[in-house]
Order: sequence, then structure tokens, then C-alpha cells
Amino acid sequence: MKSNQDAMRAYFEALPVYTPAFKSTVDSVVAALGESVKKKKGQVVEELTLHNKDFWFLKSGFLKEMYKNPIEKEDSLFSLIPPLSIFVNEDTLFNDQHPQHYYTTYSDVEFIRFKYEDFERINAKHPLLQLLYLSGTAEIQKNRRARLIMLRMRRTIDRVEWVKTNRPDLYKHMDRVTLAQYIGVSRAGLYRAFEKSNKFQF
Amino acid sequence: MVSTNKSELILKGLLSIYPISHDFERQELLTLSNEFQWRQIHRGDLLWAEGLDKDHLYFIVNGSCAEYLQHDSQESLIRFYHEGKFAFSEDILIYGVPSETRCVALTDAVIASCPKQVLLDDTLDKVVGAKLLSILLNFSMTEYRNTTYEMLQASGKARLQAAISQSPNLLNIIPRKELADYLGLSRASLFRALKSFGHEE
Repeated sequence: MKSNQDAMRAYFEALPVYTPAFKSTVDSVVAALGESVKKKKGQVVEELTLHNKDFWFLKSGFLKEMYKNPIEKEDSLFSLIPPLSIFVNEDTLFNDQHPQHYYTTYSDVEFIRFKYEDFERINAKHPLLQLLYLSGTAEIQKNRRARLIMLRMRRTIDRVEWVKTNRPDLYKHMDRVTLAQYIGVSRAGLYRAFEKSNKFQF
Repeated sequence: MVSTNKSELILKGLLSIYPISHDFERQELLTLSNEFQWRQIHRGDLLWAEGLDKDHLYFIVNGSCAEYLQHDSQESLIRFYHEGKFAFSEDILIYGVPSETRCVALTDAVIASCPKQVLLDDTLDKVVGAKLLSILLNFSMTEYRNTTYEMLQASGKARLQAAISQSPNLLNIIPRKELADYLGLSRASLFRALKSFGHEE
């Protein structure tokens, strides 16, 4: 198992923008990382229900990002976060508002905190950190854009195929309920699509 | 240089997204508002094309525009821009890479635009320009998040309902064909959904 610092360093080195010029910036970031937080499957991540602008790195396990769906009048899945991802409270970080999303553990998880104060401190000394931040957001936006294309597909089975092809990292770990929520169809609709096409998840 | 009324309109738009932290920022935003060039465009005209097109920030004075993403030899409408909103290719303006999208006027429209260079050059305090770009990025991420809420709804009716709750004036600004594309519905399903809200005969 990699140490927290090695895991986070590997994340940065895998970003498309990364070059050796970022080494000292990344060194400063990994040196500022906090201790791991471990949670068992099925728990709410309380650390993110509070007003904070910190960055969180999911070292292992999967998290469900949930939101209050005003149409369904119940909490719904917004996204499934795979290991080796960075996640934040967007409402707090971008708009200084109380978080509207919350996170629950889909499996046992381990994550690491990178404090916003450290981000600002390091950014003042290493402006290249801003480029890493931008590169991270570009990846998020690319994924969101691609998922929106999938969500506009008319046939449920095409959406399933999209997840299978484009997000095998999620597909292999999703139960059917989570898959149905991720592709924006009802559970019954997903079952019917599997029956009709004679294809099944596994 | 634009007239006072015109620049005030853009300033109002800027102030609606830009939280002022220091007094000088308001003056800087007014300076920026004066740098926007106005033009009239017709339905079907492009604001930006795919690839390395103009790195401009656009303000929709009136009319509406749609952003399309090319993928797998087809095209999807991913975002609308309407009166009083800023439009931009985040690929070009924020990330400085070729745009994967193009933006087309859905109606005859009046557009004001300003190149990225102005946001970052010496006519404007660099802090203000950089802060504005960062706000636009957050804005763009929040918009994609909001659109995802709409598209996660399992029925056409719920998608339409979610879209209207995000943008109450939606039905008055977007032609029906484009709205159907945007919601990922056939036109028949869109009309059924509209009928259930009492919007179509």
C-alpha cells in the first residue's frame, strides 16, 4: 500500500499538464497533507457536511455524492467517486455557501485532507499550483460533459453500454440500483432494458 | 468604446456574478465593460467554432444562443445562453486549448464581446481579470452540475420540470426543437411533457 504522500504524488503526476517543473510545487502539497481518515461502508462523511473549502483526496474505496432531488422529493445519487480522485464541497469552495451535496461511503474508504489554508499558502509561493488546480477542474469538466452526452441518449441500454465502455472503473463496482441512478433511469426501466436486450450487467 | 448605457448593462451583468471585495474592483469592472464590442448577429451565426477560435468572453444583450458538442459523428446541445448571461468556450477562454464545442445563435441577437487579452493585460488590474476568469470557471462547473440534475431525472416530464425550475423563462427563449435536443427527448415526448404542464394544445 502506498503512503498518503506517494498516492497523492502519483495523482498529480498522472495529470495531463504535469511536467518535472511541477515537482517542487507537488513536494510542498504532499508535505502539507493531513492524516488519513478511514470510514466503514454505509457511513455519512461528516467531515464534508460542514462549511469547509478543503480539498479531499480519496485514496481508496468509493464514495456516493448525494443531493436533495426536489422533483423526486428524496435524496438522489449525483455521482459515484472512484478511488484516486479529488473531491470538494463545490458550494462552499466556489460560492461560500453551505454544502448542498453530501457524501456517503459506498465501500470502506480512506481519504486525506488538504486544507484550503495550505492551498493558499503554497499557491502564494508556487503559482504553478494554480495550473494543477485548473488541470484538475478540466478533468472534472471533461467527465461531466461526457456524462451529460450519455444522459441524453434515448435508449437505456445505450447508456449502460456507455458506462461499461467509458467508465469501467465505476461499472465493475456498481450494483444495479446505483447504476440506474447514475444513468438517470428508474430501477424498473433498467431491468426492462436488460431483459429486452438479453444483456446483463455482469 | 461603448456608450454609458451599453457599458452599464454589461457592468450589471458582471456585478451579478462578481462579488466585490474592494472598492477599486467596481471601477475596474466598469473599465472592462467599456472594452466590450457590440454587434448584431443573425440566427445561425457562430459565436465561436470548434478548434482554436477567438478567445472571447461574450455577453448576450438580447436573443439566445446554444452551445453544441460534437461527438461520435453527431452533435448534442449542451448549454443555452440567453439575455443577460455571459457565454464563452471554457476550453479556449479558461484552459487555452482548442474548443470541443461551437456556439450558435438560435435567434437574431445582440452580442457584446471582449478578448481574453483585455482581461489580463495592463488596461485592467490583473487581479480583477484573473478573479473574473476564476469566477467564470466556477460558474461553468456549477452550470454543468445544474444540467446534470436535470438530465438525471428519469422521465421527460421531470426533466422538463427540473429545467424550468433552473431557468423559469426557458419555454419563452428556446425554440422547441432545440429544447427537445437539450433534454434528450423526442419532439413527441417533449410535447407530451409540455401538455402535462398545460403549455401546448
